[in-house]
Amino acid sequence: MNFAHIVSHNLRSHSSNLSMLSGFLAQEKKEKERKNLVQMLQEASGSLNETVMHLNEVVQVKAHALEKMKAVNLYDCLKAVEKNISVLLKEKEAKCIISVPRKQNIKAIPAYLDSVFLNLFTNSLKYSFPSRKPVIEITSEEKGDKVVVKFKDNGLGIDLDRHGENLFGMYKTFHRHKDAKGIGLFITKNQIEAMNGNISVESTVDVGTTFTLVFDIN
Amino acid sequence: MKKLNSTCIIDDDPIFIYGTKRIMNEIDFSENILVYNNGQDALDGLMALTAEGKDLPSVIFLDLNMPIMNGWEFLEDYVKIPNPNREKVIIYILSSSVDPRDLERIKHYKVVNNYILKPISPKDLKRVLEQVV
Repeated sequence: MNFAHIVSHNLRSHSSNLSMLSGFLAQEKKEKERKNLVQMLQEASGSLNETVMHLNEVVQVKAHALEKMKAVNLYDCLKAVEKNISVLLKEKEAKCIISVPRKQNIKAIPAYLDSVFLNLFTNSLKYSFPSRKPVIEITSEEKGDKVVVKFKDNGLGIDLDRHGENLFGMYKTFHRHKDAKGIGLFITKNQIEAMNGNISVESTVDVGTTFTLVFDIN
Repeated sequence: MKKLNSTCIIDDDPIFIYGTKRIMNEIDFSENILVYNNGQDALDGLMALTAEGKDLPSVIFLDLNMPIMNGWEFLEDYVKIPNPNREKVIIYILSSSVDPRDLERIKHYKVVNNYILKPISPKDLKRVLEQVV
């Protein structure tokens, strides 16, 4: 990601709103409209703040990552995340099938791995297909010195011909969903890459999405 | 100066839309202002106008970075709208992008008249009005 791009698409939209709104406020005489402007100024500065935090999070991911790597049990990690979102799973009547060997250890940063799976789980639930109950299947397979994890759902799917190149981009959203922020998969990809892994995706619209994650075996 | 009959803003940012409408009202820019929050909504809306036999707005202000359908994708489909007055419509890209790659890419779209860098000012809009009317 280059600097001109970050400035253009993440920071300037907020800063230009701030300068526009403060310009209006300086000349506005009506008290009611002034209040309205102040509220929008607060929103714009809040958005700028949030963006700066996101960017900071991204920079943090890359710093000192390799030092924090250790052996992590994949099954335990998945079970812990599943437990974490058990209320949400129940609410959505989702079924979660974790077919991963109990003793599979990978090289990872525990907090990142939690965050990666948490994001994939919540995405699957957020973008589930309205007329069927969500089913999430997770499998793993050893290939040489790597572990390949498949994370499959039966959700809305995504048109990769159209959105593929942007799927892991920052602030890219593809569905009409009020909570879509376009930061989750961007951070997920960065976290996985910081752990020397990689992530790829296959998807069919209206059928579901499968993420393939590759990690080093410990 | 004469004002426009109809203008269209395609942008997903409510604060930007508020600001642009406010400036438009201040300088008496346009009789009607249509707002769409992404390329797809805009395309659907403009197609509906066409189906009703109505003209497209004289000026379209188009943001680049939007969910569902971004500005680039909108331009691809826009040129296929079968409306007789389509070729008279003037499109301005209105974006916060200072990325040289975006600026370069805009040159390849014949339907785009010009690029305006956000934040938009009364001066920008007055200039548009001079060009169009």
